Amino acid sequence: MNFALLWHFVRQDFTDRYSGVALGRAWLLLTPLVQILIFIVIFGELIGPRLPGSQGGAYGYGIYLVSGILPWTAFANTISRMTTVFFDKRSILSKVSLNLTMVALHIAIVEGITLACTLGLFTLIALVLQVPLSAGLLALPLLIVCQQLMAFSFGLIGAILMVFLRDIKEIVGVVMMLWFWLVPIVYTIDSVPHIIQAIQVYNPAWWFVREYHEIFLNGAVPDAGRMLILFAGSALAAGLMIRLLSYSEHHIRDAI
Amino acid sequence: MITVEHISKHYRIYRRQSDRLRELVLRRKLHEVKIALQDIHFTLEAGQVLGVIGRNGAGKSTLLKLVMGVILPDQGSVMLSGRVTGLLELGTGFNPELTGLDNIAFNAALLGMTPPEVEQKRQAIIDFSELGAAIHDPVRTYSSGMIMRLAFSIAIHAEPACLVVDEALAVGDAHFQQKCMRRIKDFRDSGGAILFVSHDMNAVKVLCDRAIVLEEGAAVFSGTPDQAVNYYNRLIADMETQEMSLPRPAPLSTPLSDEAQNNSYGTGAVKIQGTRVAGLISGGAIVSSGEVADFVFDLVAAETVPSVTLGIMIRDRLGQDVFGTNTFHLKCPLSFSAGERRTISIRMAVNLAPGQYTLTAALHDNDNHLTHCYHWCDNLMAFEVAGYIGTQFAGICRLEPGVYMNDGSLE
Repeated sequence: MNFALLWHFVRQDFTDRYSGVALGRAWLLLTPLVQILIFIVIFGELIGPRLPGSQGGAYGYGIYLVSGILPWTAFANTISRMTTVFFDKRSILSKVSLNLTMVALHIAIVEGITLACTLGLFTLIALVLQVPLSAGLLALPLLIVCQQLMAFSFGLIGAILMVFLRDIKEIVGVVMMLWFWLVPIVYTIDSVPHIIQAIQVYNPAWWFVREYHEIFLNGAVPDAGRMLILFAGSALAAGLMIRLLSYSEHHIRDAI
Repeated sequence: MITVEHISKHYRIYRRQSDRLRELVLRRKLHEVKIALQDIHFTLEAGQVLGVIGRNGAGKSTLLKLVMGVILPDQGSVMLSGRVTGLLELGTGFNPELTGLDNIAFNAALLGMTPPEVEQKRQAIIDFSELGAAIHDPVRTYSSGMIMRLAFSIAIHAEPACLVVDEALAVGDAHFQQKCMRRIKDFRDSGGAILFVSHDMNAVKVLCDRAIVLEEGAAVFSGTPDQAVNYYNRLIADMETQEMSLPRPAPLSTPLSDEAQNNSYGTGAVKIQGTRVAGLISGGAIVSSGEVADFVFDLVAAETVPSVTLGIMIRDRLGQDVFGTNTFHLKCPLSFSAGERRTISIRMAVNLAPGQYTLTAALHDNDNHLTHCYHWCDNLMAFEVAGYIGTQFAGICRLEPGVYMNDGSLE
């Protein structure tokens, strides 16, 4: 894989978004900043449930919400953008021979970098608000990588199916919408019926959201065993999907 | 360099996108098969230039895409050694908001250059493009010629082992086109291989060592560029006469098209029914410069006419009159009786520069059409001059020069 070219695609994505815009890449941080502050202030101070114990400090529920929404946004964006990536890049794909895996991967990397920036911002804000955090923060880079590997795998499913059914783009949108409500991001895991709690063990999104809660809400270090399983699982899934992609390459290239 | 081993490619045409999925699920065939390429086989070594010609839809672009790896063959394989750079389109991946300078890096990377290579060649690329200070302006302010110059400059500096060109050189002003041609020739001379697809028969004859003709996905001819162009020309000429589906016993002449009918006028006493241009070597309407060709006219008279002159005028693509004559000046008086049919041809060496030309013809009496004009047809037929027999020259026509020394001896 041509890493120099992959890096070009990543950089192009950022410059495309912000080229010609006056404040340019400052928007990368401005929009999430406003979003984080809104969530923390409104849901932390004004409305929203009180979390048991001293989770998340004085702004408990606000912190809980943001620590789940930021990773989920990156996850969902990665999947929906990857679903259409081959069609979005068709003007280049139909003229130059490119590694399809590389083209798909750049989306996951772009969203991963964006997530890292917004999480960095969130950490700063949390520290300012004296939310108790610990060395668990050091696990964040690995967590982001695991999450994005998982998103990459699901995204590839979408990208391959897109060739057969254009509806997939809309279906993925609806699926992500529904999935959002199946993950304890807005609600806490102990506040829902037992059946919802029981299915979480099968919910890949919960596997990484749970660790974000550990880091930001409990101020703890995520369990090493769980992290290892998470990493192994997402790497395996990514590997399988890349294999599937190479089988479908013929169809994809013809359809573009 | 490039070895194409018995590759075939077919496309499945589905009426709806969802049929692709339904076919898998229901296990029923819901598509039509369109054969794009059948069993194409050739090798291209260093320093060779292979031309690929054919009608639209014959499979030329598909072949190039298969060679480049943009699509995958259904059968057979493509083996490449060394970097293969494609000029399928100029400016792939250009971001209009960025400056020319910023776009160089991405485009160069797409064409296969490593970052150190791009660094090293950046200045050479800028110099070749002749963009000057405009290199710092956003690409959306560039004219199409400027985009072409930058894109070609990047591509030619990719220094591949093999260059694949698909009509991408058709734009740009004469100066830059010549510059590009020179660079391509230098590339060939220093051992690069070129796979060249074009409709420009002259470029094919001048640049290529070999050429193949594709027709409906199959390679129907392989040989020297001259032979291939002739074969191609006969192919399209046959197609035109078949489309006309004439019952007439004049198998090779093309009768007047509707457009030519509309552009013609006259008393109709004698009429031109059909015409053709036939080079003595090529056999068709694409002749080499200097080749002797027959300009053949099928005439029919509606009434008895004692004095008939056949005149012709060759015009270039700008409509400029290049050469005209008539049978009166050639001391060849004609007369027709009512109902008579005759075929007349004017034979000459076509010492014209390569390009597209049209033929205008007229039937009148005596030496000009001002008294009695029986039939005047503007732009009766088009023909093309491609390649040279003998020495090359510049300008519109070859005047057959000879060089003499001061002492009067002929050099």
